[in-house]
Amino acid sequence: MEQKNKNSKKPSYSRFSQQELPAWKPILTPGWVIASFLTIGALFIPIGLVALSASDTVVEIIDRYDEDCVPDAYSKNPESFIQDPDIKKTCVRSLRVPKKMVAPIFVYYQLENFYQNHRRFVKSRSDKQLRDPEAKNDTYNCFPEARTADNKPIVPCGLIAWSLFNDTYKLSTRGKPITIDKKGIAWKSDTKVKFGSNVYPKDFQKGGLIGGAKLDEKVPLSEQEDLIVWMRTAALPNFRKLYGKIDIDLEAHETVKAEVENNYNTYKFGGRKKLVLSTTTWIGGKNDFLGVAYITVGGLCLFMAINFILLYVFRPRRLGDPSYLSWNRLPIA
Amino acid sequence: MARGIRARLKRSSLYTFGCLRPPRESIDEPHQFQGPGFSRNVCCNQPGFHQKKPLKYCSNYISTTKYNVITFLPKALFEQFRRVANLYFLLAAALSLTPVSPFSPVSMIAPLVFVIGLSMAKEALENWHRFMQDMKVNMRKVIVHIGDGVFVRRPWMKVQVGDVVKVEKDHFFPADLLFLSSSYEDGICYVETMNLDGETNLKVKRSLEVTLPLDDDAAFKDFRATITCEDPNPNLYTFVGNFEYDRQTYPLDPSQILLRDSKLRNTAHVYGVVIFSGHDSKVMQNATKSPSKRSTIEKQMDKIIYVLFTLLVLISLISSIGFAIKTGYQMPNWWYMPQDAKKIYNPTRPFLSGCIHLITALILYGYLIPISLYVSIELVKVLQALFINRDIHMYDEETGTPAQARTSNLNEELGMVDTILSDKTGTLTCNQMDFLKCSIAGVPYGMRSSEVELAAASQMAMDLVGHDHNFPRTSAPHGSEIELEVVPTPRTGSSHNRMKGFSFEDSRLMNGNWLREPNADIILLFFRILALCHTAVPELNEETGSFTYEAESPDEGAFLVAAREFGFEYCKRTQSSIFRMSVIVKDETGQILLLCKGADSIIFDRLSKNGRSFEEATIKHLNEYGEAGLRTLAFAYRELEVSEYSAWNDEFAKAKTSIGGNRDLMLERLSDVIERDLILVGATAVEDKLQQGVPQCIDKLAQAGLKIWVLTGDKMETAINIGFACSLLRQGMKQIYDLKHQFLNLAVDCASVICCRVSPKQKALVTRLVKEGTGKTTLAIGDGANDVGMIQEADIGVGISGVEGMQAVMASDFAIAQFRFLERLLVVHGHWCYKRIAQMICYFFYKNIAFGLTLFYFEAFTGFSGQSVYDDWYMLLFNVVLTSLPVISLGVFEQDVSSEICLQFPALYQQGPRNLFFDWYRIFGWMGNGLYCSLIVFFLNIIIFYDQAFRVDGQTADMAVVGTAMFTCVIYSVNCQIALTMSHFTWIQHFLIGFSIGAWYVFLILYGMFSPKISKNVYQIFIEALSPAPIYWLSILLVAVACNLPYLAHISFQRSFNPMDHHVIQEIKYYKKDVKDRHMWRREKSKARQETKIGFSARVDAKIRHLKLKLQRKSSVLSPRAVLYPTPT
Repeated sequence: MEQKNKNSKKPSYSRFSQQELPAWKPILTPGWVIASFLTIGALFIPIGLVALSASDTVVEIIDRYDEDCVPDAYSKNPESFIQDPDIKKTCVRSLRVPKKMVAPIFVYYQLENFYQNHRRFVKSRSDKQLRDPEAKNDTYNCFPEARTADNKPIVPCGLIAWSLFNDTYKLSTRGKPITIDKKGIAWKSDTKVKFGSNVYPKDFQKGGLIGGAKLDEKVPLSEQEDLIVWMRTAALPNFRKLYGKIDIDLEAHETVKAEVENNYNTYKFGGRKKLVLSTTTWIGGKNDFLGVAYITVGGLCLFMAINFILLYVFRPRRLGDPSYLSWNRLPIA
Repeated sequence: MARGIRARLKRSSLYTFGCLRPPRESIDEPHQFQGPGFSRNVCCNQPGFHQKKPLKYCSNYISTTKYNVITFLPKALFEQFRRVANLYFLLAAALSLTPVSPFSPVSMIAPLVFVIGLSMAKEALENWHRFMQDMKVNMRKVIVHIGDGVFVRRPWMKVQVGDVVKVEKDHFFPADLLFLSSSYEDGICYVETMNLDGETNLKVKRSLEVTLPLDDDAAFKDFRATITCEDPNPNLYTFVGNFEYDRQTYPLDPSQILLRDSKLRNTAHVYGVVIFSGHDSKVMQNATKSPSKRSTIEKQMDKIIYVLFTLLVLISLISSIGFAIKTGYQMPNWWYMPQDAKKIYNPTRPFLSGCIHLITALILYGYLIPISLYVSIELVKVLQALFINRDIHMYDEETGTPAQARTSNLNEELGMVDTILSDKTGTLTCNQMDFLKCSIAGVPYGMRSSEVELAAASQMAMDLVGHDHNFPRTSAPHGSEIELEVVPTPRTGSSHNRMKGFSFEDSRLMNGNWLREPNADIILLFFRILALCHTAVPELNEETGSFTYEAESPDEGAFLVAAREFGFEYCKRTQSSIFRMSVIVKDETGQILLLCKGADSIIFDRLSKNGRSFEEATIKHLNEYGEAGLRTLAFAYRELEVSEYSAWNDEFAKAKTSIGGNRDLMLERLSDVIERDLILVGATAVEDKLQQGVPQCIDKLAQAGLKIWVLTGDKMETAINIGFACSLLRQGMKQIYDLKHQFLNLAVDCASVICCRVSPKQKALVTRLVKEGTGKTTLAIGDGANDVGMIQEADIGVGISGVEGMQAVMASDFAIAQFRFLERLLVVHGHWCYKRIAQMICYFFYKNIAFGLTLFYFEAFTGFSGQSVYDDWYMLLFNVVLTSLPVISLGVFEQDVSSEICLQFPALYQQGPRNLFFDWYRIFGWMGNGLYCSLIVFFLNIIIFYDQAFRVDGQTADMAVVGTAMFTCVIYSVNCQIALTMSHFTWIQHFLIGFSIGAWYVFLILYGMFSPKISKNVYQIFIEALSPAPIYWLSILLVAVACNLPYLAHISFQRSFNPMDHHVIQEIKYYKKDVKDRHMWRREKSKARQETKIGFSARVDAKIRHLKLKLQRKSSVLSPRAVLYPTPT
């Protein structure tokens, strides 16, 4: 009986409990070191080159128009220009196509120094309200664009929606207008789920404060793609947002006339506005950095590999050489 | 069965000085005392009086628990929040409920609740174990008088002050008792105070003469008395009180007090009355609260926390200043964010906004000081402790006890120990003496070798093989002599029929053969001294018909067993006086002999001129025995004339009954008078049996560079013997005894230190001295209650489990069954745990810096508004699921080298005490790596996803896309990093690293599939937006490689050009060089010992050096003995 009790305390043997599980114990031999650096180098440089060449095929036209679209008379005080509803805001820009642009060509507006990622701004929305017609009173986070003066909930509420970008672009080339397709610029998940097809704007932009674009109250939110794109807040204060798509090719050296309705006030906060036309490739828009970064890292790895080869050649250490053990290196007292 | 003897032996005729009863008339006046400190009144046999005030004293129920059911919650919570880190987390959690928090409250509160809950559960479990332990004691049974002379058994907890209890042989006293009477007519009893002071010898207690008649149950029917005495106090050796009985008052002193937790020995039963019960008892008053210990790494981690906290405050300040500026100067222009009524974003009061933002920032960057670090460390340590508990190599078959990590806080401290302070009895030795050798009339007897000789011989045999190559020529002709001593007497063969306490083997003396020896008469005298000169009580075992002996000390037992084996059975004590070290007997011829046994130095001083014929030979033998680690005593005798004896005896009798302090002096003087002109007979050598494997273990520990101190209550000679036995001392070492000043300065430079005659308190003080004086990590190991102080004081306390008393184990941090397991505990588990925890903490800081700083950089781009680029759930899961498991597996399973190699290369242990893996260089290196990684992750991602489309469909990246991509890069980078950090991959590591990355995708997909109510911006992000975008995958590859490149280059370089020991050994193993080149492997193993001066290897080395010296001198004659016992070099 006692013997049994004694045995019960004996730890049972298992390779796990005795920490003797079979293990892979790799060590960084010179071979491994050189091989891994070479492999990374050999892999990264081609990737970098491919990415760079892909980026190179992208044609991009960027036109900053916020300054030029203010009449000279107002250049000292652009705010009074932009805030005056009576002045005509149309402004014509001509864009030169540097290389042939193959459809689809994407039209973007770019805002700079606009803190769409500011915490106060980001929080100022009601997802529930956008999704669900029953939840129109859910305006908790939307202050001060939550309710109208007579306490009716604003749909869509919050600062993001309220500050919707309202410049418009009309493009034409050789006198023929180019259709900008505004459908399908938003993510499917937004149009299908996040923005309700039975939620309609209500009391929007009717308060005392003047914000950005107005919305057609007859169109459900799920079809207000400009709003949907705008509501996906950008990560940085400089950002591009999709405006539309062009389905025709633009030939090289062609001039595109852009009629800009310059409504959006970037003058107050010193922001910039740009109109961007760009093609894409598999890495997206023009992005030389990715390729350069790959080539740099790959190059560094090759450099490192060469260095290690040299080091191993000139100062070799036989692996497992016991003379490197500390007790063999220290002078014995 | 023992009753029979007891009946015959009513009077305990053994007196040592301590128990000589002064004659009746010498009774002192009762103690005069009043006032504070002496207020206790005990009404004997009337416990009813003590149930109500004013004489209500605490019950005998003891509780050492920290909490009870009601106090648990508040007290445990309070304990938890005394940790600054927890308080910080609580504050953060509280603030997360306010609108300033950048996170949702649940993501802050849930982990805190988890951590606190876990710690409290651990606390509760420990408390429960304590409670069970207490109850085991409380439920012990004792016989209590319930009135009318009836005694019944009751649990200890029901015993009350005033109760008369009857304690039987080999039982513990349930409380502090006043000793009334015993089974001996003269009111003597023997107690063992092992649990109080660690001493194994028996102490004699005597009752008052007046209570002697109370010697059976019925006598207590009408027993009434009152005790007035001191209040409860922790002093074990004093007691002052008065006993009022029959209208007379008698003074009480400590010899009438039987202390709780001491044990009744050699006495059938005693009666006593309870004076101090429960927590009032002296032993409970002595109990000290076990201090909470923290490991060096943990303390250093605190400093890192301070560094990080400074960093946290710094970046929070930058953040809030930035925020204040942005809010004050730019926000008025941001028309899309109209003025806020809530104060947080108030451009008119930027300073206030900045202050509020500071709190937001502190919470946001809280990832630099992750709560999960504490959870993970706690978890890892518990798992490490589990491995320690389950290590089959630390399981003791004999006692059936596995090793036990009683606290998991100190695992890594085991790898950093510098000095070991060890108790002797019960720890190094078994407290069992074996009669091994003797020298009679200058002739040595006894063929067996002591354990240390055997261990040294086998080591030497091994070494000589290795040394052959160096001395092929010179050693060859003398090989035979070396052989002579390296082949030990086979001891295993006959061990099973060996008698306990008797390992003597020499046919010349056994089986009556001694009669044929030349000095048979002297041998006879020797045996007589062996059999008679002691104070033991024989006890007839009626079943076997043989005697067993109840001796005060185990050496005496060994002598008696030896005498019996030689044919001199000691059966009955007749009238004799034992004083100091002699006994006077009359032999059958009427010759009066004084037989004397004592330390050699004392005996040699008292030899007569013609008694020195064997002196030279005996001294030589004594030296040999001493060096072999044996306890020696010299035997001498003297023939007394009848007249001389009777004259002396009269004086002695007078002196015995005299009163006062003079008595001792007189007796001392009288002993001196008679113990002179002795004739030397011989000497004995008793082996204080070492625990199994102790010399080998000490050798290994010494090779691992550990200093070993032995603290013992024994006298100096014994301590030195055991020093030799454990190879802590060897010939040629200088022994320095008397040093009061600069003790420490001297001692820390010594290879080994033995402190003798130290009290339990001094043990603790010495430990503190070493700990504070050197600032290095100390480990104390002991088995008894007397070691508790030392165990609690040291950085690590190790208790020897499997012995009777549990006090040492209860106070310890680790419990092992045998001293020899200490080697594995330190060299294997300590080494591993140290490296694991060190690497784990470094990595943890790395990963949280790498992650936390990306939040800060992003801040700068959001106008310092406190917006996080990551979803709340990413952040929550980062430390809980996505990066925690690999680091936990690092902390639990990492092995730089296998356990065999740890043991073969004890020098590897030094990586811990030198703290090579947790120095500031390394810590800052890792932090720098984290900083680098954060920069790479953030800026590469930001630039890649900057403004242009990231997909062929023309969409640009929004915050959720950038955040998710960045987070994926962090996950990859830190998980690749840990793969580079590890050197030991079992399927568990492979699985967990893979799992962490896989879990991220699984989470992302599942989370994205939830309705947007829950997933918000992350809805469908992976499936819809990221996975089809090649740039997402390319950025992961780029970032993960770029993050780990410098580290890879660094470790490659370090390994190639500054390899550490474990690197080289890993390589040797990797290329199986140890198999191909066995000679090299063996050579390195032997070199891997630290330059050590102690341990038997060092002793063997010293011997070999000596041997070489002799060989080189080409001395023509080389006696084997000269080889074995070299003169001091």
